[in-house]
Amino acid sequence: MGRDTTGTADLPRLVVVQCPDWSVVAAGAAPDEPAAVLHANRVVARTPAAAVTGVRHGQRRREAQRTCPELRIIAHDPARDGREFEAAVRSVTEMVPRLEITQPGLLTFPAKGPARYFGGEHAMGLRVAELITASITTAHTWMLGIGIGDGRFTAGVAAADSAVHSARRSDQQPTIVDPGVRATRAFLAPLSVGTLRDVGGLSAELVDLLHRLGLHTLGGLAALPATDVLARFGASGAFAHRIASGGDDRPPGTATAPPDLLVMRTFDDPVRMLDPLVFTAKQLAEELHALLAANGRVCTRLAVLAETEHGERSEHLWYKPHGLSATAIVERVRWQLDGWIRSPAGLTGGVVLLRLTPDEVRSDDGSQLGFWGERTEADEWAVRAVSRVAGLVGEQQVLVPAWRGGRLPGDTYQWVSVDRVELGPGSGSVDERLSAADVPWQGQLPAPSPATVLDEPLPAEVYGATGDVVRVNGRGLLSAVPDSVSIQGKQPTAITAWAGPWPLDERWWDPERHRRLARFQLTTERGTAMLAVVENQQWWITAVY
Amino acid sequence: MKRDGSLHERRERLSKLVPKIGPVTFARDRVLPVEPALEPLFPEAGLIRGSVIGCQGATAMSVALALVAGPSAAGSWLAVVGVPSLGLRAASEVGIALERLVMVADQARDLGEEPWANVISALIDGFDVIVLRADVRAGIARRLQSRLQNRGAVLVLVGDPGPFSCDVVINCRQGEWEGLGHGSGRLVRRRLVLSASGRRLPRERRVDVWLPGASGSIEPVVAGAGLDELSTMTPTIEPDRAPGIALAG
Repeated sequence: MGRDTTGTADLPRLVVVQCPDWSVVAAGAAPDEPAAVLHANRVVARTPAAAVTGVRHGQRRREAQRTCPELRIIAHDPARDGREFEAAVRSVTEMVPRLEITQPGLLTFPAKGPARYFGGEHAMGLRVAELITASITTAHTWMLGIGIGDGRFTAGVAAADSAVHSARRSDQQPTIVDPGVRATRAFLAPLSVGTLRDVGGLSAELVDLLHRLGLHTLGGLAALPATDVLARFGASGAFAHRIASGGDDRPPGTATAPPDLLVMRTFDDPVRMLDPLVFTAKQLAEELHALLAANGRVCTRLAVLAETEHGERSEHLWYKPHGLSATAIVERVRWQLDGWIRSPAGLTGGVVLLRLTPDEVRSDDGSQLGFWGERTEADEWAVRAVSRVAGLVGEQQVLVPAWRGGRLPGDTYQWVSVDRVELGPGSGSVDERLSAADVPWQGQLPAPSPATVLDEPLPAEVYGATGDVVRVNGRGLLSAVPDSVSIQGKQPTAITAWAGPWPLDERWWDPERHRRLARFQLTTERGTAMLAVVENQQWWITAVY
Repeated sequence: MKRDGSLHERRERLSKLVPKIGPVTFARDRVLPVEPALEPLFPEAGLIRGSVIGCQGATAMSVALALVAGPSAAGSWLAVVGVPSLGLRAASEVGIALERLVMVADQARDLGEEPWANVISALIDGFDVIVLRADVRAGIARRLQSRLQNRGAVLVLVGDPGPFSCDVVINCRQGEWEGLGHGSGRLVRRRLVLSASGRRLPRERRVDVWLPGASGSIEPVVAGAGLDELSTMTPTIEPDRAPGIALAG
């Protein structure tokens, strides 16, 4: 074991409550029903029944459906998760006033006071489990992890451990790590370095690298000299080393926020609706984000307070280790207020005050907002709007372009439904979805392409000067010079210019999909330019320029 | 923070906070950029956030695509509603970033008018630009329009604006095509005169453009640039397993 350079005297004793599959609980699924919540085509939460059949977190939709064909797929809805979690939070707030929420399904609060009140940490852990289980309306016992330990990382690992055991034994015993650096290290040492990624929030690349170097356990990492780890793995490696050896687990550069820093709005007319509040929260969040960004800082823990005209209050602390972006702040305000406004007791009045107070800030090292190829605010908003619209109309109705390739204007790109792709930069599949082949398609008409490509081609007739329909024979010869065109049986209009035929003989090897046609460009006396095709002696208008 | 004191006092305290914490809006943040060829149409040389732009006339679809190409290329997301026949290749040629383009299928309209309005308003929440072929009731149009102003998105209407009140209407008359002969050549480019009018514009503004230009994008018309110069860059069409082309007769 390395030199004991890190003490835990200043590490607070924390309780972490974790419900790993919160999304399915919030969606109201029963534990014995195989169901899973998917986000961006991957499983983010599943019921115990689904877990038994082999559905795992991070699995793709197809794989999950293959392992469990009767799996019910539930759309990902962060707003629902947040709203439903509010009841659980409220139930624990009765016991501990100051708790912080990292995300729906993950709570943290200091252990000291409540433990003394309930007669020990174990008793308190059981009580928390009881309260939360009682607050979940579905009345099933869900996988719930309660961990108590020194610092956020240790308590988080303990909670994950407790969750795994609770699933196996179907009880809700807390996992308690004894205080002190020695006990903490002893607890962490046999665990896989993967916990650095799953609980500590470190990058998968670093964990992967540690594995490849033969460092499979936290104990193995902690045994290395801290200076060597810093030299070899840089700042994030040093941080990993510190938390693996039971040291300070706050990200570097974290500090308490200056006391006078806050943004707030008061409403002269009490507001009862959620949307105007969220809209105000958006302005506040942007103000706050700008204030902090001016000092190169980002908020990691934020107090959101709302108060009604009759003095009812809702105050939560929200925590995000790498800092809350403006979008993230708005999302959290929405979760909190939505659940509060819809709480069974209800509110007696409208909201008159909304306040955001940073509680803890850290220097913004850019781990949140990237530069190239990373998501911008615009991307985040759009991706979120897409999932909302998909929730309203169904994923099949929300479409994005994908490159397919082909010689007709409608063939080059096709619309695919959004549930089959990942949106936004940084998801990799965007390039895959839209990158055209390097070589041009032989036989494709060059640019400019028609702005309107008709879903259903319009039947048409093209007449020669004598009034006979123009025919195209198998060798691409025209029976007459095109003179006028009649679309859908309407009055013919004169053709002012034309070119073609450009023959197309596609998939001649496949009798089912073989197409043989000739393409023409026409302009009429009205000035319209069209793309017409002749297939089996029938003229069609397929696109308008 | 103390919350007692009269409403007046509280307001005063709040007003002192405003310069400290109020958002700073630069003029350039309120305007989405457009392609240089279209800048003369708008006094601000771009699309003002929160405005409604109507494209009417025979070439409305092409003009709408050219209009939103600027914001799209600059990083804005684009939503298309009610325009199932949008030519994606043309959209990409005119400069629209297809990776930031999303369409809501027309079948979604069968849900009924109210859910349909919710869809559009959700899009307004998340997208900077929405291209819409409108047919909604007046009440819904008003609601969407006020949401648009709150959120700062831009709505581009293709065809009849219906109950929406447009800030700018672009009249897209039929243009003149170049390049197509009688049994020869191909469509190369189209000259369009666009005119913009509306309550934000004291007088009609006009611009003379090639839309689409020879590469499919929008270009300003430069006096004296004839088609001859283009002939060198006009690619020939490779027939696919062509059995030989001739004109009978």
